[in-house]
Amino acid sequence: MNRSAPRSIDQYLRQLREHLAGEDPALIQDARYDAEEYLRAEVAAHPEKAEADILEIIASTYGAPDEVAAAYRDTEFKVKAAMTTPVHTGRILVPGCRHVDGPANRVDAALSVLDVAVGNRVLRHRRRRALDQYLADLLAARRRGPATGISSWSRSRARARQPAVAGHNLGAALPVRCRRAAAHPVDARLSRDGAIACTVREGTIGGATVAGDLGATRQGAVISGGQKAAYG
Amino acid sequence: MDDSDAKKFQKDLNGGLVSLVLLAVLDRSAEDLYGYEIAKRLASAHDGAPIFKEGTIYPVLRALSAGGLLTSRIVPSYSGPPRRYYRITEQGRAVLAAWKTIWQSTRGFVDRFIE
Repeated sequence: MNRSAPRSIDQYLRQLREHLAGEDPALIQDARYDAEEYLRAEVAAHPEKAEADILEIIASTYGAPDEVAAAYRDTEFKVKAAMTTPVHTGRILVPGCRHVDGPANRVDAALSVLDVAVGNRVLRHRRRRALDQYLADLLAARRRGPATGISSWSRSRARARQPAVAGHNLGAALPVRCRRAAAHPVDARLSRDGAIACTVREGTIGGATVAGDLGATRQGAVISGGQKAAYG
Repeated sequence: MDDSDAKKFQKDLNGGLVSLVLLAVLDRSAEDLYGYEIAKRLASAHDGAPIFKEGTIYPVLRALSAGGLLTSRIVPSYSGPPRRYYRITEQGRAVLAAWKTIWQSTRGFVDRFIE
C-alpha cells in the first residue's frame, strides 16, 4: 500500500485501520487504542515540537502504520507458539450439553467453561462493558485458536438484544451467573488469574442430577454427571 | 550484508526475545506499567538504533496477558484512550524463569562459535 507518511495522529490511526482492514474488529480496536495511547503520550512528552514533526520520527521509533499492522497480525502467532510449554489438555463434559474438547490452556478452558455455563441462553448482565472487555481479551487470545463456543454466546446475545449474563464484583473475580434453562441454573466463576469454578446449584443436566461445585481448577474442569474432577 | 538483510535477521531474532524482555521488565518493576512506559524503559536502555520498533511490544503485551503470563487493568485517561497497565503473574514468573534458562543456554551455545 503506497501512501504518504501520516502527519497527524488521526491520519496515523486511519492508515493503521486501513492496513488492518479485514482483520478481527477486536484486533483493530486493540491496535488503534495502543497506537493512540503511544502517539498522544509522545506528543505530550514533546510540547516544543509540532505534531507533524513528531509523527515523522514515529516511523523509526514506534513504527509506520503498515509495520505496526503487520506486528499485530504476526506477533500473536509467534507468542502463542512460544507459550505452548505449559499446555494442558482435557475435556469439559456436561451431559446433555455440548462437549468441548481439548482446551489447550487456561484461556481455552475459561472460554469452554463460559460456553458451557452460558450454554445458549444467557439472561442479563449488570456490568456489561467490563464483561465485554474480559470477553474481548479472551477472544483476542483465541483469535487463531480452534473455535469453541464463544460465537454461539455472541449470537445468542445478539438475538436476545439484551446483555444476558449477570456479572458483578469484577475486582478479584468475575462471577458469571447464567442459566442454560430456567431449571438448570449454573454459576461459572472466572477469576482474573484464570481460575475457574463452575457450579450448578441444583437441577438436572441431560438427565443427570447435579448440584454443588462441579469443578474448580486453573486449567479447566472436567464435569460429568455431577461428579467433578480437576486436571492440570 | 545490506541493510535489509540486517533488518530481517534482527526481526527473526526478535520473534521470542521481545516476550522474554517484556516479562523481565515487568518482573523487575515494583509497580504496574503501561505500554508507553515500558517502551520508554526499553528505549532508554539501549543506545543507538532501537532493536525493535516500540509499536511491536503492544501486541506482545496483549498476547502475554491473554496467555495468563500478565494481568492487566484498564485505567481511564483524560488525554486519550484508556491505559492498560500490566503486571506479571506467578505463571509469568515461572515461564520467565524457564525462558531465561533457554536463553542463557542458547546464548552460550552461539557464543562458542562466534567469539
